[in-house]
Amino acid sequence: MKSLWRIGTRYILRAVFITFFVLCANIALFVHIGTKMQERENGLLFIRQRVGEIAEGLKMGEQGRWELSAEGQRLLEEGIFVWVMRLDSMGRVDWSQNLPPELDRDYGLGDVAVFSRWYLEDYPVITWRHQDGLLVFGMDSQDIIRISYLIGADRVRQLPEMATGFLILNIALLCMVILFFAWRFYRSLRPVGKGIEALSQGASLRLSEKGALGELGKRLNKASELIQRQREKLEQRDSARTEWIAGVSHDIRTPLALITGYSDELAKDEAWNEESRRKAEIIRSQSLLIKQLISDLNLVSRLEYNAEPLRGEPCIPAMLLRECAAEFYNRGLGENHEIELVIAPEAEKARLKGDRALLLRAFRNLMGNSIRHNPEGCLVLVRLEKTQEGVKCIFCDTGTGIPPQVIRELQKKEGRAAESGSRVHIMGLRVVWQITATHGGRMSFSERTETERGGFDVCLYLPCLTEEGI
Amino acid sequence: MNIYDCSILLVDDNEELARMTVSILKRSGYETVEWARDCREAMEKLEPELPRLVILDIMLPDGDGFTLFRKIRERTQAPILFLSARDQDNDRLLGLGLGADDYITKPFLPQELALRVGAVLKRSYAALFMPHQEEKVLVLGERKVSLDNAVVTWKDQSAALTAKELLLLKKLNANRGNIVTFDALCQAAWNDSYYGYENTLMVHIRHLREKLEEDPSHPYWILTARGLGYRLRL
Repeated sequence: MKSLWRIGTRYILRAVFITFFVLCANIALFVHIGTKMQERENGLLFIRQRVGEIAEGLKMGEQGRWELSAEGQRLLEEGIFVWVMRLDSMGRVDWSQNLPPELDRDYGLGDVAVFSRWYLEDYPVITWRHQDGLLVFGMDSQDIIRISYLIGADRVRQLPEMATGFLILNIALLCMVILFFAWRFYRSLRPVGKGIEALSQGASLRLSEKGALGELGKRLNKASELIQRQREKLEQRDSARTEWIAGVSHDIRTPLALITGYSDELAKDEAWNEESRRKAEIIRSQSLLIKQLISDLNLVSRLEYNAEPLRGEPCIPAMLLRECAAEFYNRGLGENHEIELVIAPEAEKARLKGDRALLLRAFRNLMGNSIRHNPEGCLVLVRLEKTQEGVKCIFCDTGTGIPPQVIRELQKKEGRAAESGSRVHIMGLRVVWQITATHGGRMSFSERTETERGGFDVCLYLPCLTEEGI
Repeated sequence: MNIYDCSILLVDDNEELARMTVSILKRSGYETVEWARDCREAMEKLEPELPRLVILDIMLPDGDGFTLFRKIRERTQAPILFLSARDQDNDRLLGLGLGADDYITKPFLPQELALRVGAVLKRSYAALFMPHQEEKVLVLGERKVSLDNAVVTWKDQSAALTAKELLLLKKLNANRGNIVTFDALCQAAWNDSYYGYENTLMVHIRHLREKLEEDPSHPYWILTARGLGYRLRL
C-alpha cells in the first residue's frame, strides 16, 4: 500500500504544481494585458496630444473665419476622428469638418456637460478648449468605448488587501479540491492496490468489477485466476515429482536390504576366499552409500517442494553439535579422526526454533563429509559463535576440505540440482543447504588460504530466537 | 531362560527378504522365528502360543502394519518392532507413538537388526532373565558402587554418593562405554539445559571422581570427552 501513498503524494504534488503554474500563467497574462492596455492608454493620450496640435493649427482667418493649417489638416486626417466641430461661447457651431447634419445645431450647457462625459448621438467625443470656444472631436463608436465611473477612495485603498485575501482563499479552495480528489483517487485505487499486493504474495484475488476501475478489476481477476491455475499445476507437478521420488526411494529399499544383508553375510563367510569376501564387502559398503544417497535425495526433494512438515521446536545449537559429535565417537570414530567443538560462551545460550532431527542431519552430514573424505585421518573443528542475528557455525578440518568444483556446482544453481551428467556428488551438501534455508538461514563457503591443500570450509548462519523468546 | 529362547514372529510380504531376515535371526541364535506374509496369517500365527517379540512391515498386502500393531496389542503386550522401507519421520513417529519398541528402516545391516532385537528383548524381559539379582552393583576395579544404596565401598572404606552424583553416575552407567554429553547429564540430574550448569556439573563430576577413582587427578573410570561430555570406561 506504500506505492499507493506514493501515487497519491505524487498526484497532490502535481496538482499543486499545475495550480501554481496556471496561477503564474494568469499573472503573466494579466501583466501582459495590463501593459498592452497601458500602451493603448498611451495611444489615447497620444490622441489627446494630437487634438492639442490640431487645435493649435486652427486659427481665425483674415476674413473672420476659422481656418485649419495644412499641418493641422494632415494631423486630422491621420487621426481616428470621424468629425470635428468648434462651438463658440454661445454654443453655436462656428467651424466644422465632416459634421453629420443632425449634429449641426446649437448646444446648451446641459448638452456639453452630457457629451463631454458620455456620448453625443452615439459618437464618443473628445473636447478641447479652444480660445473662448470648445473643439469637439467625434470618433467612431466601433473604435472607441467611453466608460465613465466613480470609485470610492476607501475601496481603492483596500484593493491590495482584497486582492491578497482573494488569492489566499482561492489557493485554499484549490488545495481542498485537490486533497478531496486525491483522497477519492486513493480510495478507488485502494482495492486494486490491495489486490496486487495479495497477488504478489501468492493469494488469490476477487476484485469488484463495477465502477470506474471495473475494467481494471476484471483484468486483475483474470490474471489472478491464471496465476492460480498455473500455481496449482506447478504444485501438482512438484507433488507428483516428490511422490515419485518418495515412491522410488521406498521401492528401492527392499531390494537394497537384500543386497546389504546378503553381501554382509558373504563378506563374513569363511567358506569364501579373501578376494571374494573383499568384493562382497565393497558391495555392502556401496549399498549403504546408496541408502544414504536415496535418503538424501528424498529429503532434498521433500524440503524443496515444502512436502516435509517442519517441526518448530526450541533447539539449542550447542547441544545439537555436542550430540552429533558424541554420536560419531560412540559409533566408533577411527583413531586418526578427532572432532573438536569450540563453543563461544555467548553462543552456549543461543536458542533457535527449528526441527531438531533436520538440524542434526545437517550437522551430521557436514561432520560426516570431513571424516568420509579424509580416510587417512583428520581433525574436524567445529566452532559456534554468536552473531547479531543468530549463530554462526563453522565446520573445517585439517584434511582436504571441500573441492572448488563442488562449490561451483552448488552455487551455480543456488543449491538446486546439479546439471545432469555432472560427476560431482553434492547431495549431502544440498541437504545441508536446504535444511539451512528451511530454517531461514544461509550457508556460505570460505576458501582456505593458510594451507597448501586449499579447499573450502563451510559456514552456517542460523537465525536465533531473541532473548525474550528464550 | 535367555533371550534366544524367545519366539519371534516376522510379518513381511517379501518372501526373499523374510527368508534373509529369518536366517539372520537364526544365525544370531534365536531358535524360534516364525514368518507370516500378511495380516491374516500374522493373526493366525498368534495361536497357539503368543510370540515373545513381533517384527512388522508396514505395507502389507491385506492391510497396514499400524492397524495390525493395534490388533496384536489387543492380544499381547510382547514388544513389537517395525521393519519398514518407509523412512519418513512421520511414519517413524507414528510407529513409535503407537507404542512400538523400535523402528528399523530398510536397508539394514544384519548385525544391527540382531543387536536391536536383542536390546528390546533384554529391556522387555529383564525381570525374566535376571530374576535373582537382588541389588544393582556397579564394579569399578576395586570399588563397588551400590546403585540402590548410593554407597561406594572399597577395601575397608566407604563413601556415600549424593542424590545428584548418583543420578549422574546412573546416566553414565546406562550408556557405559559411550560419551554422554554435558546436556544429557544436566537433563538427567537437574532436568535442565547445560547453560548455567557448566561449573556445577564439573564440580559434581570432580566429587564423583574423588569417590570412584584411585587418583582423581588422573581419572581412569570417568573420562572427559573434551568439549562434549563424559564417558564411563567399560
